[in-house]
Amino acid sequence: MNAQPDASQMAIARASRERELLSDALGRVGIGDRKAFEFLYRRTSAKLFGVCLRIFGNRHEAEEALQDAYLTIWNRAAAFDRDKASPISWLVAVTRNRAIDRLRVRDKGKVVELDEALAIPDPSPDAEKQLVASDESRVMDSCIDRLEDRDAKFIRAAFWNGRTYADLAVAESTPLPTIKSRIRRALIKLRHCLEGAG
Amino acid sequence: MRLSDEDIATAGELALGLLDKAETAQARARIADDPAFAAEHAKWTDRMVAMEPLTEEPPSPAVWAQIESAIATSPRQDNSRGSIRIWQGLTAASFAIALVLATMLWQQPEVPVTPQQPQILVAAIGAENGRESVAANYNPQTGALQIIPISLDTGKLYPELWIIPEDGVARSLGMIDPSKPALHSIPEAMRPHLHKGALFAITPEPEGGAPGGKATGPVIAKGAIDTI
Repeated sequence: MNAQPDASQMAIARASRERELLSDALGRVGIGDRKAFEFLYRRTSAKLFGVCLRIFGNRHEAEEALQDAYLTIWNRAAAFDRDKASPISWLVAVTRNRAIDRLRVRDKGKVVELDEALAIPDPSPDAEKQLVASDESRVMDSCIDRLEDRDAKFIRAAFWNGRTYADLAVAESTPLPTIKSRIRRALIKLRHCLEGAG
Repeated sequence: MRLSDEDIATAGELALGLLDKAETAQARARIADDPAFAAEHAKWTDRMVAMEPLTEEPPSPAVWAQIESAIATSPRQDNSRGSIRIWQGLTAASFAIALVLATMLWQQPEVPVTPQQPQILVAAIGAENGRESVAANYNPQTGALQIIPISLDTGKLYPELWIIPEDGVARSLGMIDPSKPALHSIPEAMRPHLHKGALFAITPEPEGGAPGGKATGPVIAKGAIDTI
Protein backbone atom coordinates (compact mmCIF):
# COMPACT_ATOMS: atom_id res chain seq x y z
CA MET A 1 0.00 0.00 0.00
CA ASN A 2 2.81 2.38 0.85
CA ALA A 3 4.56 1.97 -2.48
CA GLN A 4 1.45 2.99 -4.41
CA PRO A 5 1.31 6.75 -3.64
CA ASP A 6 5.08 7.08 -4.02
CA ALA A 7 4.98 5.54 -7.46
CA SER A 8 2.10 7.72 -8.59
CA GLN A 9 3.71 10.84 -7.11
CA MET A 10 6.87 10.06 -9.01
CA ALA A 11 4.86 9.61 -12.19
CA ILE A 12 3.18 12.99 -11.64
CA ALA A 13 6.55 14.68 -11.00
CA ARG A 14 7.98 13.10 -14.15
CA ALA A 15 5.00 14.24 -16.21
CA SER A 16 5.22 17.81 -14.95
CA ARG A 17 8.96 17.94 -15.61
CA GLU A 18 8.35 16.68 -19.15
CA ARG A 19 5.65 19.30 -19.60
CA GLU A 20 8.05 22.06 -18.51
CA LEU A 21 10.78 20.78 -20.83
CA LEU A 22 8.47 20.65 -23.84
CA SER A 23 6.87 24.01 -23.04
CA ASP A 24 10.30 25.63 -22.83
CA ALA A 25 11.39 23.99 -26.08
CA LEU A 26 8.21 25.11 -27.87
CA GLY A 27 8.73 28.63 -26.56
CA ARG A 28 12.22 28.68 -28.07
CA VAL A 29 10.99 27.18 -31.35
CA GLY A 30 8.56 30.12 -31.41
CA ILE A 31 11.51 32.50 -31.76
CA GLY A 32 13.20 30.39 -34.42
CA ASP A 33 15.58 28.25 -32.32
CA ARG A 34 16.54 25.28 -34.54
CA LYS A 35 18.33 23.42 -31.74
CA ALA A 36 15.19 23.53 -29.60
CA PHE A 37 13.20 22.31 -32.59
CA GLU A 38 15.49 19.32 -33.02
CA PHE A 39 15.19 18.56 -29.29
CA LEU A 40 11.41 18.75 -29.57
CA TYR A 41 11.46 16.42 -32.58
CA ARG A 42 13.65 13.85 -30.82
CA ARG A 43 11.36 13.97 -27.82
CA THR A 44 7.96 13.83 -29.51
CA SER A 45 8.26 12.36 -33.01
CA ALA A 46 7.57 8.75 -31.94
CA LYS A 47 4.33 9.80 -30.29
CA LEU A 48 3.22 12.08 -33.12
CA PHE A 49 4.16 9.39 -35.64
CA GLY A 50 1.81 7.09 -33.70
CA VAL A 51 -0.93 9.69 -34.27
CA CYS A 52 -0.20 9.79 -38.04
CA LEU A 53 -0.05 5.99 -38.24
CA ARG A 54 -3.44 5.78 -36.56
CA ILE A 55 -4.89 8.17 -39.14
CA PHE A 56 -3.27 6.77 -42.30
CA GLY A 57 -2.59 3.17 -41.42
CA ASN A 58 0.61 3.02 -43.50
CA ARG A 59 4.13 4.28 -42.88
CA HIS A 60 4.57 6.07 -46.18
CA GLU A 61 1.61 8.42 -45.87
CA ALA A 62 2.10 8.71 -42.12
CA GLU A 63 5.69 9.92 -42.62
CA GLU A 64 4.60 12.51 -45.18
CA ALA A 65 1.93 13.73 -42.77
CA LEU A 66 4.44 13.82 -39.91
CA GLN A 67 6.85 15.95 -41.93
CA ASP A 68 4.01 18.31 -42.80
CA ALA A 69 2.97 18.44 -39.13
CA TYR A 70 6.45 19.40 -37.90
CA LEU A 71 6.76 22.15 -40.51
CA THR A 72 3.43 23.49 -39.25
CA ILE A 73 4.74 23.27 -35.68
CA TRP A 74 7.89 25.17 -36.74
CA ASN A 75 5.81 27.92 -38.33
CA ARG A 76 3.15 28.19 -35.63
CA ALA A 77 5.05 27.52 -32.40
CA ALA A 78 4.79 31.20 -31.46
CA ALA A 79 1.03 30.67 -31.10
CA PHE A 80 1.49 28.04 -28.37
CA ASP A 81 0.29 29.38 -25.02
CA ARG A 82 1.63 27.32 -22.11
CA ASP A 83 -1.08 28.67 -19.82
CA LYS A 84 -3.86 27.35 -22.04
CA ALA A 85 -2.73 23.89 -23.10
CA SER A 86 -0.19 21.24 -22.32
CA PRO A 87 2.55 21.12 -24.96
CA ILE A 88 1.78 17.52 -25.89
CA SER A 89 -1.95 18.15 -26.43
CA TRP A 90 -1.08 21.18 -28.57
CA LEU A 91 1.38 19.11 -30.62
CA VAL A 92 -1.09 16.24 -31.01
CA ALA A 93 -3.87 18.68 -32.01
CA VAL A 94 -1.69 20.37 -34.67
CA THR A 95 -0.56 16.98 -35.99
CA ARG A 96 -4.07 15.52 -36.02
CA ASN A 97 -5.51 18.58 -37.75
CA ARG A 98 -2.83 18.68 -40.46
CA ALA A 99 -3.14 14.93 -41.02
CA ILE A 100 -6.94 15.12 -41.29
CA ASP A 101 -6.62 18.00 -43.79
CA ARG A 102 -4.39 15.78 -45.94
CA LEU A 103 -6.74 12.85 -45.55
CA ARG A 104 -9.70 14.95 -46.68
CA VAL A 105 -7.82 16.24 -49.73
CA ARG A 106 -6.81 12.68 -50.60
CA ASP A 107 -10.33 11.30 -50.22
CA LYS A 108 -12.13 14.21 -51.82
CA GLY A 109 -14.99 12.96 -53.98
CA LYS A 110 -14.36 9.40 -52.87
CA VAL A 111 -17.34 7.60 -51.38
CA VAL A 112 -16.18 6.12 -48.13
CA GLU A 113 -18.02 3.01 -47.06
CA LEU A 114 -19.73 3.03 -43.71
CA ASP A 115 -17.67 0.16 -42.35
CA GLU A 116 -14.45 1.72 -43.57
CA ALA A 117 -15.35 5.09 -42.09
CA LEU A 118 -16.08 3.61 -38.71
CA ALA A 119 -13.39 0.97 -38.73
CA ILE A 120 -11.33 1.02 -35.57
CA PRO A 121 -8.31 -1.25 -35.47
CA ASP A 122 -8.33 -3.68 -32.58
CA PRO A 123 -5.79 -2.85 -29.95
CA SER A 124 -2.79 -5.14 -30.09
CA PRO A 125 -2.38 -7.35 -26.98
CA ASP A 126 0.63 -5.25 -25.89
CA ALA A 127 -1.25 -1.98 -26.18
CA GLU A 128 -4.16 -3.50 -24.30
CA LYS A 129 -1.84 -4.50 -21.51
CA GLN A 130 -0.46 -0.95 -21.34
CA LEU A 131 -3.95 0.49 -21.18
CA VAL A 132 -5.02 -1.73 -18.31
CA ALA A 133 -1.82 -0.88 -16.49
CA SER A 134 -2.73 2.72 -15.72
CA ASP A 135 -5.61 3.94 -13.54
CA GLU A 136 -6.36 6.73 -15.96
CA SER A 137 -6.89 4.29 -18.81
CA ARG A 138 -9.13 2.14 -16.62
CA VAL A 139 -11.31 5.16 -15.92
CA MET A 140 -11.37 5.99 -19.63
CA ASP A 141 -12.35 2.41 -20.52
CA SER A 142 -15.19 2.31 -18.03
CA CYS A 143 -16.49 5.69 -19.26
CA ILE A 144 -16.38 4.53 -22.88
CA ASP A 145 -18.23 1.40 -21.83
CA ARG A 146 -21.02 3.57 -20.49
CA LEU A 147 -21.49 5.21 -23.89
CA GLU A 148 -23.57 3.51 -26.51
CA ASP A 149 -21.29 1.54 -28.80
CA ARG A 150 -22.39 3.53 -31.81
CA ASP A 151 -21.70 6.87 -30.09
CA ALA A 152 -18.19 5.88 -29.09
CA LYS A 153 -17.53 4.86 -32.70
CA PHE A 154 -18.89 8.17 -34.03
CA ILE A 155 -16.68 10.16 -31.69
CA ARG A 156 -13.61 8.18 -32.71
CA ALA A 157 -14.47 8.36 -36.41
CA ALA A 158 -14.79 12.15 -36.16
CA PHE A 159 -11.44 12.68 -34.47
CA TRP A 160 -9.36 9.98 -36.14
CA ASN A 161 -11.00 9.67 -39.55
CA GLY A 162 -12.10 13.26 -40.02
CA ARG A 163 -15.76 12.33 -40.36
CA THR A 164 -18.15 15.26 -40.31
CA TYR A 165 -21.74 15.34 -39.09
CA ALA A 166 -22.80 15.10 -42.73
CA ASP A 167 -20.69 11.94 -43.27
CA LEU A 168 -22.15 10.33 -40.18
CA ALA A 169 -25.71 11.35 -41.08
CA VAL A 170 -25.34 9.75 -44.53
CA ALA A 171 -23.70 6.64 -43.08
CA GLU A 172 -26.50 6.25 -40.54
CA SER A 173 -29.32 7.39 -42.85
CA THR A 174 -30.30 9.75 -40.05
CA PRO A 175 -31.08 13.49 -40.26
CA LEU A 176 -28.03 15.62 -39.47
CA PRO A 177 -29.60 17.47 -36.48
CA THR A 178 -30.39 14.13 -34.87
CA ILE A 179 -26.77 12.96 -35.25
CA LYS A 180 -25.51 16.30 -33.94
CA SER A 181 -27.60 16.28 -30.77
CA ARG A 182 -26.78 12.61 -30.19
CA ILE A 183 -23.03 13.25 -30.36
CA ARG A 184 -23.26 16.36 -28.22
CA ARG A 185 -25.09 14.36 -25.54
CA ALA A 186 -22.47 11.62 -25.74
CA LEU A 187 -19.63 14.16 -25.39
CA ILE A 188 -21.24 15.69 -22.28
CA LYS A 189 -21.80 12.24 -20.76
CA LEU A 190 -18.22 11.15 -21.44
CA ARG A 191 -16.82 14.35 -19.98
CA HIS A 192 -18.83 14.13 -16.75
CA CYS A 193 -17.91 10.48 -16.35
CA LEU A 194 -14.20 11.26 -16.75
CA GLU A 195 -14.12 14.38 -14.57
CA GLY A 196 -16.43 12.88 -11.95
CA ALA A 197 -14.24 9.82 -11.59
CA GLY A 198 -11.05 11.87 -11.62
CA MET B 1 -16.02 30.06 -13.98
CA ARG B 2 -17.86 26.78 -14.60
CA LEU B 3 -18.62 25.83 -18.16
CA SER B 4 -22.15 24.89 -19.12
CA ASP B 5 -22.83 21.51 -20.71
CA GLU B 6 -23.46 23.34 -23.98
CA ASP B 7 -19.96 24.85 -23.82
CA ILE B 8 -18.42 21.46 -22.99
CA ALA B 9 -20.09 19.93 -26.03
CA THR B 10 -19.03 22.81 -28.29
CA ALA B 11 -15.40 22.59 -27.11
CA GLY B 12 -15.56 18.85 -27.88
CA GLU B 13 -17.08 19.42 -31.33
CA LEU B 14 -14.31 21.92 -32.10
CA ALA B 15 -11.56 19.48 -31.02
CA LEU B 16 -13.19 16.68 -33.01
CA GLY B 17 -13.48 18.85 -36.10
CA LEU B 18 -17.25 18.54 -36.28
CA LEU B 19 -18.15 22.22 -36.57
CA ASP B 20 -18.72 23.98 -39.89
CA LYS B 21 -16.51 26.91 -40.92
CA ALA B 22 -18.57 29.67 -39.32
CA GLU B 23 -19.03 27.73 -36.07
CA THR B 24 -15.31 26.89 -36.03
CA ALA B 25 -14.37 30.56 -36.36
CA GLN B 26 -16.75 31.48 -33.54
CA ALA B 27 -15.44 28.74 -31.23
CA ARG B 28 -11.81 29.63 -32.05
CA ALA B 29 -12.47 33.21 -31.03
CA ARG B 30 -13.66 31.95 -27.64
CA ILE B 31 -10.39 30.07 -27.15
CA ALA B 32 -8.58 33.39 -27.39
CA ASP B 33 -10.48 35.11 -24.60
CA ASP B 34 -12.06 32.39 -22.45
CA PRO B 35 -9.41 30.40 -20.52
CA ALA B 36 -11.93 27.83 -19.19
CA PHE B 37 -13.18 27.13 -22.70
CA ALA B 38 -9.59 26.96 -24.00
CA ALA B 39 -8.63 24.45 -21.28
CA GLU B 40 -11.71 22.33 -22.02
CA HIS B 41 -10.86 22.33 -25.73
CA ALA B 42 -7.27 21.21 -25.03
CA LYS B 43 -8.51 18.45 -22.71
CA TRP B 44 -10.68 17.01 -25.47
CA THR B 45 -7.55 16.26 -27.50
CA ASP B 46 -6.06 14.50 -24.47
CA ARG B 47 -9.27 12.50 -24.02
CA MET B 48 -9.33 11.41 -27.66
CA VAL B 49 -5.70 10.29 -27.38
CA ALA B 50 -6.46 8.44 -24.14
CA MET B 51 -9.38 6.64 -25.82
CA GLU B 52 -7.08 5.26 -28.46
CA PRO B 53 -4.57 2.41 -28.31
CA LEU B 54 -1.79 4.45 -29.94
CA THR B 55 1.62 2.92 -30.38
CA GLU B 56 4.72 5.08 -30.25
CA GLU B 57 7.03 4.32 -33.11
CA PRO B 58 10.13 6.11 -34.38
CA PRO B 59 9.74 7.44 -37.93
CA SER B 60 12.57 6.74 -40.40
CA PRO B 61 15.60 9.09 -40.17
CA ALA B 62 14.74 10.50 -43.62
CA VAL B 63 11.81 12.40 -42.07
CA TRP B 64 14.01 14.60 -39.88
CA ALA B 65 16.51 15.08 -42.71
CA GLN B 66 13.72 16.46 -44.91
CA ILE B 67 12.29 18.67 -42.16
CA GLU B 68 15.74 20.04 -41.40
CA SER B 69 16.46 20.94 -45.02
CA ALA B 70 13.00 22.48 -45.42
CA ILE B 71 13.47 24.84 -42.47
CA ALA B 72 17.01 25.68 -43.57
CA THR B 73 15.92 26.90 -47.01
CA SER B 74 12.57 28.52 -46.24
CA PRO B 75 12.19 31.20 -43.59
CA ARG B 76 9.57 30.85 -40.89
CA GLN B 77 6.21 32.11 -41.99
CA ASP B 78 4.52 33.28 -38.84
CA ASN B 79 3.64 36.88 -38.03
CA SER B 80 5.92 37.40 -35.07
CA ARG B 81 8.96 36.80 -37.25
CA GLY B 82 7.62 39.23 -39.80
CA SER B 83 7.25 41.93 -37.21
CA ILE B 84 10.83 41.39 -36.08
CA ARG B 85 11.94 41.90 -39.66
CA ILE B 86 9.96 45.12 -39.91
CA TRP B 87 11.47 46.29 -36.63
CA GLN B 88 14.96 45.48 -37.89
CA GLY B 89 14.18 47.40 -41.04
CA LEU B 90 13.09 50.41 -39.03
CA THR B 91 16.29 50.31 -37.04
CA ALA B 92 18.33 50.20 -40.21
CA ALA B 93 16.29 53.07 -41.63
CA SER B 94 16.63 55.21 -38.50
CA PHE B 95 20.30 54.38 -38.54
CA ALA B 96 20.65 55.67 -42.09
CA ILE B 97 18.70 58.82 -41.21
CA ALA B 98 20.93 59.45 -38.22
CA LEU B 99 24.01 59.09 -40.38
CA VAL B 100 22.69 61.51 -42.97
CA LEU B 101 21.60 64.03 -40.33
CA ALA B 102 24.89 63.77 -38.53
CA THR B 103 26.76 64.35 -41.74
CA MET B 104 24.58 67.33 -42.67
CA LEU B 105 25.08 68.88 -39.23
CA TRP B 106 28.74 68.30 -39.56
CA GLN B 107 29.01 69.92 -42.95
CA GLN B 108 26.90 72.97 -42.15
CA PRO B 109 29.73 75.15 -40.78
CA GLU B 110 31.82 74.49 -43.88
CA VAL B 111 30.04 77.15 -45.83
CA PRO B 112 31.93 77.22 -49.10
CA VAL B 113 31.70 73.72 -50.54
CA THR B 114 35.06 73.15 -52.14
CA PRO B 115 36.70 70.10 -53.71
CA GLN B 116 39.21 70.21 -50.87
CA GLN B 117 36.46 69.51 -48.37
CA PRO B 118 37.65 66.94 -45.83
CA GLN B 119 36.62 63.38 -46.48
CA ILE B 120 34.22 62.47 -43.67
CA LEU B 121 34.44 58.89 -42.48
CA VAL B 122 31.41 57.12 -41.08
CA ALA B 123 30.63 53.87 -39.31
CA ALA B 124 27.50 52.04 -38.26
CA ILE B 125 28.44 50.25 -35.06
CA GLY B 126 25.85 47.54 -34.49
CA ALA B 127 25.26 44.12 -33.03
CA GLU B 128 24.47 41.04 -35.06
CA ASN B 129 21.04 40.77 -33.44
CA GLY B 130 20.34 44.36 -34.42
CA ARG B 131 19.90 45.58 -30.84
CA GLU B 132 22.84 47.76 -29.99
CA SER B 133 23.60 50.45 -32.48
CA VAL B 134 25.65 53.60 -32.61
CA ALA B 135 26.34 55.89 -35.53
CA ALA B 136 29.78 57.47 -35.76
CA ASN B 137 31.38 60.00 -38.07
CA TYR B 138 34.91 61.23 -38.02
CA ASN B 139 36.71 64.20 -39.47
CA PRO B 140 40.34 63.17 -40.11
CA GLN B 141 41.31 66.84 -40.58
CA THR B 142 40.31 67.90 -37.08
CA GLY B 143 40.35 64.57 -35.25
CA ALA B 144 36.73 65.12 -34.14
CA LEU B 145 34.66 61.97 -33.68
CA GLN B 146 30.93 62.32 -33.31
CA ILE B 147 29.13 59.45 -31.58
CA ILE B 148 25.35 59.18 -31.95
CA PRO B 149 23.87 56.42 -29.80
CA ILE B 150 20.63 55.01 -31.22
CA SER B 151 20.16 51.99 -29.01
CA LEU B 152 22.88 51.09 -26.55
CA ASP B 153 22.31 49.23 -23.31
CA THR B 154 25.16 47.91 -21.21
CA GLY B 155 23.10 47.40 -18.05
CA LYS B 156 25.08 48.25 -14.93
CA LEU B 157 28.31 48.59 -16.92
CA TYR B 158 29.52 51.43 -19.15
CA PRO B 159 30.19 51.35 -22.89
CA GLU B 160 33.80 51.75 -23.96
CA LEU B 161 34.73 52.46 -27.57
CA TRP B 162 37.68 50.80 -29.24
CA ILE B 163 39.39 51.16 -32.57
CA ILE B 164 40.85 48.02 -34.14
CA PRO B 165 42.99 48.69 -37.23
CA GLU B 166 44.53 46.05 -39.50
CA ASP B 167 47.01 44.89 -36.84
CA GLY B 168 44.05 43.54 -34.85
CA VAL B 169 45.04 45.36 -31.68
CA ALA B 170 42.14 47.06 -29.86
CA ARG B 171 42.99 50.58 -28.71
CA SER B 172 40.68 52.41 -26.37
CA LEU B 173 39.02 55.62 -27.53
CA GLY B 174 37.44 56.13 -24.13
CA MET B 175 33.97 55.82 -22.67
CA ILE B 176 30.93 56.91 -24.61
CA ASP B 177 27.62 58.33 -23.45
CA PRO B 178 24.80 55.92 -24.32
CA SER B 179 22.11 58.56 -23.74
CA LYS B 180 22.98 61.41 -26.11
CA PRO B 181 25.21 62.37 -29.06
CA ALA B 182 28.66 63.63 -28.12
CA LEU B 183 31.82 64.91 -29.77
CA HIS B 184 35.13 63.27 -28.91
CA SER B 185 38.51 64.72 -29.73
CA ILE B 186 40.83 61.93 -30.86
CA PRO B 187 44.43 62.38 -29.65
CA GLU B 188 47.03 63.02 -32.36
CA ALA B 189 48.80 59.70 -31.75
CA MET B 190 45.60 57.74 -32.24
CA ARG B 191 44.43 59.50 -35.41
CA PRO B 192 46.32 57.31 -37.94
CA HIS B 193 44.34 54.28 -36.72
CA LEU B 194 41.02 55.82 -37.72
CA HIS B 195 40.86 55.19 -41.44
CA LYS B 196 38.69 53.35 -43.95
CA GLY B 197 38.54 49.61 -43.12
CA ALA B 198 39.48 49.95 -39.44
CA LEU B 199 36.92 48.59 -37.00
CA PHE B 200 35.06 50.31 -34.18
CA ALA B 201 34.00 48.06 -31.31
CA ILE B 202 32.07 48.62 -28.09
CA THR B 203 32.47 46.56 -24.93
CA PRO B 204 30.72 46.88 -21.56
CA GLU B 205 33.27 47.83 -18.91
CA PRO B 206 33.38 48.93 -15.28
CA GLU B 207 33.04 52.61 -14.45
CA GLY B 208 36.13 54.50 -15.58
CA GLY B 209 36.93 52.02 -18.33
CA ALA B 210 38.72 48.74 -18.84
CA PRO B 211 41.55 48.39 -16.33
CA GLY B 212 44.99 48.52 -17.99
CA GLY B 213 43.50 49.39 -21.36
CA LYS B 214 42.49 45.77 -22.02
CA ALA B 215 38.84 45.06 -22.73
CA THR B 216 37.18 42.81 -20.18
CA GLY B 217 33.69 42.62 -21.64
CA PRO B 218 32.50 40.98 -24.86
CA VAL B 219 32.15 43.01 -28.03
CA ILE B 220 28.45 43.95 -28.08
CA ALA B 221 28.62 46.07 -31.21
CA LYS B 222 31.07 46.65 -34.03
CA GLY B 223 31.30 48.35 -37.38
CA ALA B 224 33.91 49.13 -40.02
CA ILE B 225 34.84 52.69 -40.96
CA ASP B 226 33.86 53.69 -44.44
CA THR B 227 33.73 56.76 -46.64
CA ILE B 228 30.32 58.24 -47.33
